[in-house]
Order: sequence, then structure tokens, then C-alpha cells
Amino acid sequence: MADDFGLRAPFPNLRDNYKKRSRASTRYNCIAWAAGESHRHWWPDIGTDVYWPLDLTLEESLDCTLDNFIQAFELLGYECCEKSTSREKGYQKIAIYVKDGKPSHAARQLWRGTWVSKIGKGNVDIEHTPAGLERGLYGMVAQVMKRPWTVRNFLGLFLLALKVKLLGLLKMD
Amino acid sequence: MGAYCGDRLIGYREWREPDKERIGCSVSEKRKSDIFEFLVVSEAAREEGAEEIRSRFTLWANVWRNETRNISNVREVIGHYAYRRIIEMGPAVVPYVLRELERFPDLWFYALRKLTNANPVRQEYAGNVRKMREAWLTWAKKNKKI
Repeated sequence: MADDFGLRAPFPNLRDNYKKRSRASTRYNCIAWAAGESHRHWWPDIGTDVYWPLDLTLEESLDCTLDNFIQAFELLGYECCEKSTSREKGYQKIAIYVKDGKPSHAARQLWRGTWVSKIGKGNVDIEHTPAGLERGLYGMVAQVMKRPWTVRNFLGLFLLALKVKLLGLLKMD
Repeated sequence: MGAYCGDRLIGYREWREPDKERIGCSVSEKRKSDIFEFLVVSEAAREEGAEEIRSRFTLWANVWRNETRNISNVREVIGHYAYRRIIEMGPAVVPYVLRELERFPDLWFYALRKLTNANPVRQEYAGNVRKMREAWLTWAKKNKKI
């Protein structure tokens, strides 16, 4: 498999065990994708460069912590749970990665148990195993959170996937 | 034919008249020839400067794009050394950043804010690259930056 998306060097564990799900995009990042959005960048910061659902002080924005991310995903109905990335019937999970003590990435579990990620600010969405992105650019999974699957969650994420697929087909930026 | 005085393009006449006033006599043919030569050289230097800015911008922009595309942390993205090099190039690089943003949407907004001291993006569009790009390109056209 050719390394078309430059993922081998930053993610040595990934090898070729991933599947591309969309074309590369700079419209959104991994945190937005884990949160179920595809039209803006999420990151705990103040100002207009990125979106964050919580009001932050300047100190909080400078000292980006795992707690910032946990609180943001709690707003979406997720709760912290044990660090297991296996499928739990009736629940949807997200995994937050940490490198050098700082959050670096988030991945989201699909209803069938597989995991998906948007890679960075400008690469593709992929289907992968949680361990596939570990020991590389994103460090290790530090926190898993879960929420019950509801019709609303399911439909929201289904429409999100459909939108990204259509945007890819239409080749829109 | 002209030369730049600060950011303003000035013509041969503007150079000749103050010069005449200053030295109190008409400009000799030799002096005209010197001025003409100066103008040709300074315009070439200006064009060379613009070309150098363009090529330096292209170089750093490619490095930045390639080395940050897998990173989501916006502070890491805008703190990248290549992005810093672009900001250090100063206001002269603004048209190139805007043209690059027009060509391909990416996180150029922090650099534009730093370089122009402006921010045309409304808070409700925070993080929305499409809306932020629209706001900056509208600002650029209004302020004749591109």
C-alpha cells in the first residue's frame, strides 16, 4: 500500500492497517470530528482562530489540559469511563490521546465498534484501531469517554458522514 | 518608468524637480542619465525584492503545510518555525498570504492578524475556515491588498 497520505512516519503503529474515509480537508480537525462536526476547528483557545464550547481564561487557553477536553466532551453527553476501547453495547465512545502531558488528538467510535479519526488540520479521515495511532505523533490514549447511543446521536453522525462524503464527491473546499 | 520612495511609486518628473530646486540649476544631461540609471536599478531591485519575498514565502508555506498537516493543536500549528518565519517577513508578505488563502483555505488567520493588526472575523465564525477566509478576502479587496 502506497503511503499516499504521509502517515507511516508519524504513526509507525498504523502500518497499513487503516482505511481512508474522506479526502484531505482543512475545514475541520480531529476534535471537531470526534465531537461530530465537519465545518470548523475545535481547540481550547480564546480568539477567533478556533472554536471551543467552553469559556476559557487566558491562563486556561495557554495551559491546554486534558481536563479542558473532558469538560468539552461532557457538554456533549460523554462521561469518563475505564480505558477500554472495545465496543460496549448501547454506548458510543471517544478516546483522547495525550503526548508529553498535553492533549494531541481525539478519535471516535462508530456504532459497529470501529474507530475513526480526522488526521490533524489538513489530512484525511481514516478508520483505524485506537492503538494504530499510539506511540507516534499523538502519544497514547489517556482517557476514554462514553455516552449512550440515542436516535439523535446516531442520526446526527450519520448525516455528518453523508455530508463529508458528498463534499468529497463534489470536490468542494 | 519610476522608482519607489517608501511605498509610493514616483516618476522621473518628481525626481527631477526637487533636485533642480535643491541644487539651484537645471538638471544636466549627465545628471538625467544618472537619475535614469538609478531609477532602472532601483526598480529592478524592487522587482527582485518582491520576487525574493514571493519565493521565500512559497518555500516556508510549503514547509509549514507539509509539517503541520497531521497536527490539530492550533498553538503548535501557528508556533511552527516556518509560520514564524513568514510572520517575521513583515507586511510585505501580506498579499502573498492572502493569495495563498484565496487559492487554498488553511490556518493563515493568525499570521494575517499579526501582520495587519486587523481582524475582520466575527466571533460567531471562530474556527470556521470557510467563513474566516471569506471575511479576510472581503477585507483584502476592500483595503486593496490583493
